[in-house]
Amino acid sequence: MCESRLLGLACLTLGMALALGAKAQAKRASVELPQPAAALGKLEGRLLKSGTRKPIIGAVVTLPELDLETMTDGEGHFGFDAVPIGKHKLVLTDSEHATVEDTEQVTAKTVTDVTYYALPSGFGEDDLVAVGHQDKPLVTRRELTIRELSTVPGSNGDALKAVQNLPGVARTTGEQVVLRGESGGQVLVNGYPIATAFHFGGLRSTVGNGLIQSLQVTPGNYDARYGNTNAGIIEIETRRPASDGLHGYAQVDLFDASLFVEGPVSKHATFALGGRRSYIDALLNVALSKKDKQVFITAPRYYDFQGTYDWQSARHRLRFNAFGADDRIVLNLDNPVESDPAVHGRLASSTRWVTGQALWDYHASERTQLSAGLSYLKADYGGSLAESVRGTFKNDQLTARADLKHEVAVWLTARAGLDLAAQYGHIDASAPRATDEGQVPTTLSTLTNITASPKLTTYNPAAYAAADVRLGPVLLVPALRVDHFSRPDQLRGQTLLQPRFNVRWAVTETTTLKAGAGMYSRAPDLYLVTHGFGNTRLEPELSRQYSGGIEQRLAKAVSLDAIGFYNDLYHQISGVADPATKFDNGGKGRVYGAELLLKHQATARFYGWIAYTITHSERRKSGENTFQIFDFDQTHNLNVVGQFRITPTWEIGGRFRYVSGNPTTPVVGATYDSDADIYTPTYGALNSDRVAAFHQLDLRVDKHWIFNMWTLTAYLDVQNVYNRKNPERTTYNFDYSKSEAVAGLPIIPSFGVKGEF
Amino acid sequence: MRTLATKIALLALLGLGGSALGACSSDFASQMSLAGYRVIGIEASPPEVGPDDSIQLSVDEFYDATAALTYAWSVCLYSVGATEGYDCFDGSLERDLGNEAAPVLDLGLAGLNLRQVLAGLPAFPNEDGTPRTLERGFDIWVKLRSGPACAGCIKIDTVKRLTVRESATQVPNTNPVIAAFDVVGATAPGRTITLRVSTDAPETFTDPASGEEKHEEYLYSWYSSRGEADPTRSFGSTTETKLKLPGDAGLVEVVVAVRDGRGGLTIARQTVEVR
Repeated sequence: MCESRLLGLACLTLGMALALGAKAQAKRASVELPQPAAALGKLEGRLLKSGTRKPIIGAVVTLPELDLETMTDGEGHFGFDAVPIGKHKLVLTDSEHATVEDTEQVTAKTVTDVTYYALPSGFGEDDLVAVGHQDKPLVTRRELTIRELSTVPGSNGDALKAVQNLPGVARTTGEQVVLRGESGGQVLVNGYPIATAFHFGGLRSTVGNGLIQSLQVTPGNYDARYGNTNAGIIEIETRRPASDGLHGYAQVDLFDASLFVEGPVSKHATFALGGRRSYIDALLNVALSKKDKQVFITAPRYYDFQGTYDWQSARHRLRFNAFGADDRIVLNLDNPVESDPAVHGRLASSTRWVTGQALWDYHASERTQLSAGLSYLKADYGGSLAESVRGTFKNDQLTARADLKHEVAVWLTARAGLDLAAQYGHIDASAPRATDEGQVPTTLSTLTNITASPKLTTYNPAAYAAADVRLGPVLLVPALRVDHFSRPDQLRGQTLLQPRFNVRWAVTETTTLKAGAGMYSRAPDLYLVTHGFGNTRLEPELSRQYSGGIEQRLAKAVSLDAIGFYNDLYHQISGVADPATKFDNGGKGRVYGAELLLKHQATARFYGWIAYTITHSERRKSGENTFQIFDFDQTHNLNVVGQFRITPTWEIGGRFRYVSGNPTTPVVGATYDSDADIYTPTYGALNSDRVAAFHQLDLRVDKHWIFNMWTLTAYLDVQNVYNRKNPERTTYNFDYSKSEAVAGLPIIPSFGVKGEF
Repeated sequence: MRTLATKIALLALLGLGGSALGACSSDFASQMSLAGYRVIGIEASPPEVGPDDSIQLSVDEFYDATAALTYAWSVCLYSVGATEGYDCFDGSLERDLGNEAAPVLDLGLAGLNLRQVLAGLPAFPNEDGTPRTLERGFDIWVKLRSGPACAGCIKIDTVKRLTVRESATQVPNTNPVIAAFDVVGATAPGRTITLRVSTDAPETFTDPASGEEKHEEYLYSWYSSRGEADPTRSFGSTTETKLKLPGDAGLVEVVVAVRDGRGGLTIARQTVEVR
């Protein structure tokens, strides 16, 4: 198990934690008293929770034979000043922990100092609350607790992957984030962009769980604080690292291994460092034949890391965060693949990015808070396919934010801020033109390359103002966001006023009605406005979003959230036949549907929900009269999730998903290209067909072992339990006269181990 | 409204590569297994011409039956390309070339009168967006619908790109020359033999898009009517393949097609007797 270097490191960390735990069992100390009292001694100690080493506050500590009693303080400390020398029975009692009994020897002239660890007696609730998120009143914002994020079956403990179980989030197998029937959903970390949310093919998110405090999904009608997307927002908030001592974890599973360490630096400062490395390459090395190994020069592998330094005083908080990821694969194909002669030789793909954030929160008063920050993101994308296709894309993004919140009166809170973004990109590529949304890609051999090396800078300064107006049971949130989009090659940019309005009405204590409407925009992707690959005249895409619904509390922990929505997408970027223009803003789109979330909030023993989304999402290309179905239109999307703690150390959970099959474009014929030696399909109406529906059951079992100073968790996450052959796409024979469905992943049992201290 | 979010087109194309790789894993018959009626390629002599030249067109085909074959040739002066099924941009830009097996396409005054036709057309750009000029060169597309004449028999649509250029500096491309096509090894049932081809040296040319000097790299496609070739395609210095012969005696037709990546094509064929 400990053969590879990374696994070895994980084992070492676990071993160290184990050793620490063993030492802690017997931790006792005696200190010479400066002023000894005759025949009396001191007994002091601390009561900590087994595993997490968090102090147990308010526990009753008694010396029954002496009829002495005290309680543990906020740090778990207790003490008896005058205890007769000799052996005494000590009893520590707390309602949520097992009673600890021991005998201590108290000696004269010394202080006997002891540390005890108590096992939880019930089902702990430490991990149920996603704390510290900002109160942003919205029509739809859904949040998962830390426990939900890390234990949803089928997600392999990956926080961001767990999001796909919520309403309004489409099932995707790649890196796309599709919210309410629109791609391009933003994933923000502390309000700032990252380059990619997922590693290869959506296998894992690039931000590890260690630092995540909360994760919120707003599939539509998002706050004026944010902009530049016509889909929704996924916000990841990172937490302050532990200040009560050194903590961390090591984790290994089927795909990768990770390490995370956090702790105090000084009275005010804490730090955290974490990293992850996949070992798919190592597994392939074992599994593949010698001939197949020659194909992989660099087998698929990914890294990611997170680091933070957090300084906090009564009013100020300063954070310096760094995140990054690195994905790489290099293949060598000695001979062309039969389905495309252009696919041969060295095929390489790499993505590397790193971002740094400097954040300042100022709690000026009980009524006024200011947050400001600066983020720099540097990303390098690269790819090549022998000599036929190559390209690199270097991207630098600078983002500065300032957000002010002031409670003007009990009924009125004003919010305002600046969101300033600048971006530089350099594309150097020789590649065919990008496919348009809904357009079916064809083989490389039949396409003509565009060779260009454009450099471009874009600016997107924005400002917003919003008011939270509370009129009794009604909360009104009028807001205005102003975005300016410009580039140096433009005489003038575009300034867009985007009014947004949300309202919530608490009709009763258990019933809330809500509605929202607003305008949104999204700047063209950088490559689309470059000479060569795009059209420099493209303007931002626009949308109008409307939603309305009800939140109904059905029981103490059970609630129902139902919402209907309509998104009008216009001025959309769409491909055109003219190779000189390539793209224009003549596209349109519309998305409508409803989301339903019946949720049992996470309690000590159970959490679960039923999430259902019905959507119809369609697009109309520039110059055309008919709408076509959107690539990720998923009419029905049902997720049933449940997780139950059988005992304090055993958990079992399941997830069932049913999702309408993705749209596909049928092939109605084929033409043989004599120069490329390949048949090229003739397609029917775009996205006029669908693959069969997707359904899958995932099960997960977690077992915890709690030691004094650390915990060990082992889990088995079995995806696709009944081995359903879910069709993901259609493949064809060489002349497209025969076809068959290509199934997605078969049953995958993934075993993981996590040691925390 | 587009597939890519933040990355350049290339990365999506690498995804296409992945799709292509994935397609290899199916149980479909190989493109290189010849059966029924198949088009192996359209040869144009020469493959690159001036605006006043004539081109000899012919079809390299395989047919294992005896019914008569039919041909319908046409040429499109501006195609919208592979992504749109090689449709002609406008019906008026398509010309009929007749029904012969090997027609001659005359671009000059007596034939298509290309210069005059082009003068009357809008300034279409090339597929990569560059201006479409005779000096830089541009493509026209030959189309062929062919197959057995029998009722209900499926016809195959084939296209070929012809480069028309009038350049004082650019040397016109020519078809590869096959010097020898050898079958090496005993042709007993079930045995593996080697198919080997010898050609002329690939040409050097100037890439009109980048202005860079480039070398052709020949692509070899290996077909057989029976047995299994591995690899079925090779390129560069890999000028041979292994063919596992069928387990029973009989005739096996083997074909190699050599393409230069710029429209040049030459094929050679052999009949191997397995005994």
